[in-house]
Amino acid sequence: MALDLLLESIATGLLIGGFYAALSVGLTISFGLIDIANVAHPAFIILGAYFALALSQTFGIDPIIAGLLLVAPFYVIGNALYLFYSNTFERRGESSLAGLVLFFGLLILLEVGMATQFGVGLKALYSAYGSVAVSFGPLLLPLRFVYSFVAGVAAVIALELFLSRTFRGRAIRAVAQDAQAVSLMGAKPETIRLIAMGVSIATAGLAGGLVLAVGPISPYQDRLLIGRVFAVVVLGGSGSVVGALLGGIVLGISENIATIYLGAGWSLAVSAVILLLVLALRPSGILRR
Amino acid sequence: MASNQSVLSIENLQAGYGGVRVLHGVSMTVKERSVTVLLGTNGNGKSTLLKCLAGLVTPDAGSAKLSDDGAGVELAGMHPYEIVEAGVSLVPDGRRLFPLLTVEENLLMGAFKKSARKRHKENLKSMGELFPVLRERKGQLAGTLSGGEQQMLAIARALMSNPKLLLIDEPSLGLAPIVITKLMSTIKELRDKYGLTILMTEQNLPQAAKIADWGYIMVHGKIVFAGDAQQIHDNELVRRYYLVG
Repeated sequence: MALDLLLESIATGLLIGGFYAALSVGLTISFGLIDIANVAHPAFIILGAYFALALSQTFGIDPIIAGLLLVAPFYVIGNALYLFYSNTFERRGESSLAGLVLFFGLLILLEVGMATQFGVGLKALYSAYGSVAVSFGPLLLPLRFVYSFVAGVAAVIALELFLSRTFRGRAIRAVAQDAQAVSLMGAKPETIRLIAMGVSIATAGLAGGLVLAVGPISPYQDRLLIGRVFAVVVLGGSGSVVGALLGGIVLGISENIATIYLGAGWSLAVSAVILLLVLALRPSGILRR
Repeated sequence: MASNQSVLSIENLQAGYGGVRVLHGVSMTVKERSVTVLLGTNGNGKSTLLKCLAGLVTPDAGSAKLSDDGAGVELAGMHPYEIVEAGVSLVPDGRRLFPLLTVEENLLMGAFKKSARKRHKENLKSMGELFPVLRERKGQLAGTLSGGEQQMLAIARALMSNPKLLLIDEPSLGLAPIVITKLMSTIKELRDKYGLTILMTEQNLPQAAKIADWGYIMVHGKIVFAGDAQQIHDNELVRRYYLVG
């Protein structure tokens, strides 16, 4: 095996890791901090990708910029989703299993909705840098992955600052630990969760833009992402935003190495293996929250 | 020394959990700039009373009025976060810190309400002066502190909201005697230096009596004795309740 090929796949895997982090940070907030197992998260990402496609085609803007424009409307969608969830399932104390069924139903609705609305075939945006590679020393790196890596890392840094430096962000971390104590601090736990779910879905809007920047999209593409995002969240430590970046990088590199040595067909199994190994050996993940 | 203006007037408060009545018509007052101690052994309803005042338990009947410069605010039935906004802060039973947040982050959580956010920097500074150990450990996770340090952090966190009335539930529980002595002198300092009004529950009579201006004894959800510091000290009932019964 050529050393260059190995190095290149590690470097590309690292870049893909930043992309995976952007897909997973929202889930680590909902699943890890407010106990909402939103299995429909990847479906929201694909929805974001279709919206980003429409924005890009209409206004001729970059897909990543389109993803950034989706952050605000997706925040509101997240708020609405939380209000529905809290007024039905959470209030009745059926937040775990019945809630999972709700989000699973939502996932299917989103997929079917996208398939009927946008068609089942692949759609792609041919951006200026779609097939451009940059050389980095001896390595050739696809520019679209460089950009999505930068966007993913920026999103992780922004969220980490929000969660550690702002009153609302700290309250989101606190509500995961003791919601009643949060109410004794003068904060309404429902409002804090509402904000958290808004932030979570807002990241799906941005991630949609990145998915579109990286490759073609299709309505059922969330199926390819769901195992990966849960693996990244659990590997990084559920609830940890920086952990999602580390988890994403580990998954990205592992998938690329598996592709070289075992064949491309195996790369999808990597996330499942990682998920099972982490749950069995280190359930708290790389970084505890 | 305590003035005669009352900060809190509780009248005929009744509360319980499900079908079990815990408080059977409790009436008491807390005077401005005083330390009022609610004494009683375990399971008599002291914690339930504080939970009613903080909004964690909704009373079935009765009233708890916070006198806010003449106009009374009815606390009974308010949500916990509204009560904090009104100027009452509870240091709960078991401290209820956020173990995975740092000491400083816990303190900042205490300053969540809008009026307190504006003053969080100066309040953080005065908490550091009042509890130097918290300043030394500001970057440490709250869950790694000792019991006494955790209790201090819980009190400091409650103070970050600039309360008019501070409620403390069993501050001495689980602490070594020497730590309790220090804690009591800190609570006394809060009254003397900062003019705070404090209502605390205690099982530890000798320690609490040292700093109390007023004392109430609760037995089976009823107040059976009320008096000032001297009366608590001298009272036959108190002695009998604590030494014999």
